Amino acid sequence: MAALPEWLMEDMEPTGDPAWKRASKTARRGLGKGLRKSIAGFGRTLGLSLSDRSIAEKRGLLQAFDPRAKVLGIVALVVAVSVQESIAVLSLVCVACLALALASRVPAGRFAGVMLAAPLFSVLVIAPAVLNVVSGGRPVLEIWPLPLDALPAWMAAGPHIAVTDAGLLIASRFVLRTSACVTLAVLLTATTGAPKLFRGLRAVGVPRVFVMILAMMERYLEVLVRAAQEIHMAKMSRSVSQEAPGRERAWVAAGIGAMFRRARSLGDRVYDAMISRGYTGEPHTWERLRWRPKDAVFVVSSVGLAALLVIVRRGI
Amino acid sequence: MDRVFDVEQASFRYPGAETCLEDITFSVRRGERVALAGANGSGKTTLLHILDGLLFPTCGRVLFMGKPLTEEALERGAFGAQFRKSVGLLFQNSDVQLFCPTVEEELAFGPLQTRMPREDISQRIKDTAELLGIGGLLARSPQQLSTGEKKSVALASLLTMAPSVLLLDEPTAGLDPRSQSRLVDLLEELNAAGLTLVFATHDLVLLPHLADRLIVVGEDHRIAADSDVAAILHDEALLESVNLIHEHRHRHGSLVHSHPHRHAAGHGHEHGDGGPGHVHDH
Repeated sequence: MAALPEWLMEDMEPTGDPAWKRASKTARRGLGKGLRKSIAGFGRTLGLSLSDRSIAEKRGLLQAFDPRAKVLGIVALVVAVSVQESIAVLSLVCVACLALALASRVPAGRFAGVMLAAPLFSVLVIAPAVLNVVSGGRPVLEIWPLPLDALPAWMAAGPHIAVTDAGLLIASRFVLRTSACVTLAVLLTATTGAPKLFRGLRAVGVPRVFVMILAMMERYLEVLVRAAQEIHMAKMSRSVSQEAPGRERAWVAAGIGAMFRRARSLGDRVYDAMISRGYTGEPHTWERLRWRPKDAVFVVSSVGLAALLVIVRRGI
Repeated sequence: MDRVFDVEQASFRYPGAETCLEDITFSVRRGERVALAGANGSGKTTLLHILDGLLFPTCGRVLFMGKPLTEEALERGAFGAQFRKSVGLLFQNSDVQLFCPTVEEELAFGPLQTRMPREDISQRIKDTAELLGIGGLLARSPQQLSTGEKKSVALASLLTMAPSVLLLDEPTAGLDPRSQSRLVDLLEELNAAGLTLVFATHDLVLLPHLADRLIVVGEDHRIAADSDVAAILHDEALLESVNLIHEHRHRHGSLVHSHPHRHAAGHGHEHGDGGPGHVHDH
């Protein structure tokens, strides 16, 4: 065995050197702290959204139906909402979703999060459409030039930009549609355990390979987030001083690459383990699915409602 | 058919990588307990994956019960289903193997793929959980279990398929002594009942308890020896050449002493020099 290098034996005593302490403290500030919080928060959110089967196990309205019926009914409603043009009808659908969530005992906090996040993101996406340069229509709010009496010449020049009634209508329709569709999707996933949901998706003809990828993603996202946390902690434990933001960002990018490789390798091994136990891509659930009369009623009423929404898509 | 597996001049290399297994030839008979030993990276895990039909040799061939074990054959309904039902692989990393939301569903996964009646599956889950002492874990998520519990659940998930061959990749790795001992006892019992066992390991301590026959894979990825366990474990030159034992230094009083170190039971030796005479045992 080779001899221990001298530098390794130079300072074997643990030290409480203040300089070291200061450096360690600064390392915990800044981007590192933000990143750690982000990874932890993401892990918690994922844990809540993926592994939490508590809502699906509650005795609520949507939980009472067979997953195949729920997938059929809710997919029909999502399609109908996607072509619906009436603001009044779309608003009614959003209110109906709220009623469904209450009847299915979905926690208010979770539902409120979706109801706020979906419109917020869709507003960001659709914002340019409210302007006359994109959608045309009658101006209802002047943006440029500024509606002031005494304007410098350079402010009075340039293109005329205004919010229009047609733009507002398009944006409102988009936001309401998105909110209704996302809410319906959340109601479906929250009130149906993942394995049952995958069987439901297969029942409506979603290809086996997509369902298989979804199933593996659902099972291993949490493991990967935990791995990301461990990588970050391992880095923190060897960080002596705060690194420049550029180097921290480079490390984050390298970490994402490492996670990507790990995810790929993990996916391969999980797939091998599934194949080894006879998996052919067809999801089977241990819990027995039973098609009862009430499931038929749910499908007929949802599909009927969806058809009605398509027929009256320009408003009642 | 007495032979379960025939591996004939099989070689394997991962795409873009160096050769992982070279010219491997051996057979496994029904009811045998065979261990594959070798240093890290020698190709033991890859060989197990080839025996489980997850990888296929780039040269040579593998036969299962006299029939070629190929991707095409496994995709053919009857042979593939029969092979998957007959052969179970215990992965080294249990986290890879446990992918269902609850332990109960994990145990049901394999039998469900074979379209077995639910009443039979229920009975198998109950019996297997009792056998492995995991009845209290059935409703829990596999992710929340300890390493030993995960290993037990992973093994149980294979046993519910009632396999006739078990391939085990480092089955005792990461287990505490009591869990190791329980696992060894269970595997002995399964083998006595007729199950064929093929292990990959580099734990020489448990080898004599786990296997009757030892196939040593060298660092050149070829078979270095294939004989009974006792004969190979006494061949120190061979074990050192394949990196299964190494020169080990330790201190007895003021004397620094070195000798070949194997991770095997019964390498106790006496010292009367350099300190109080005593028996040193690892």
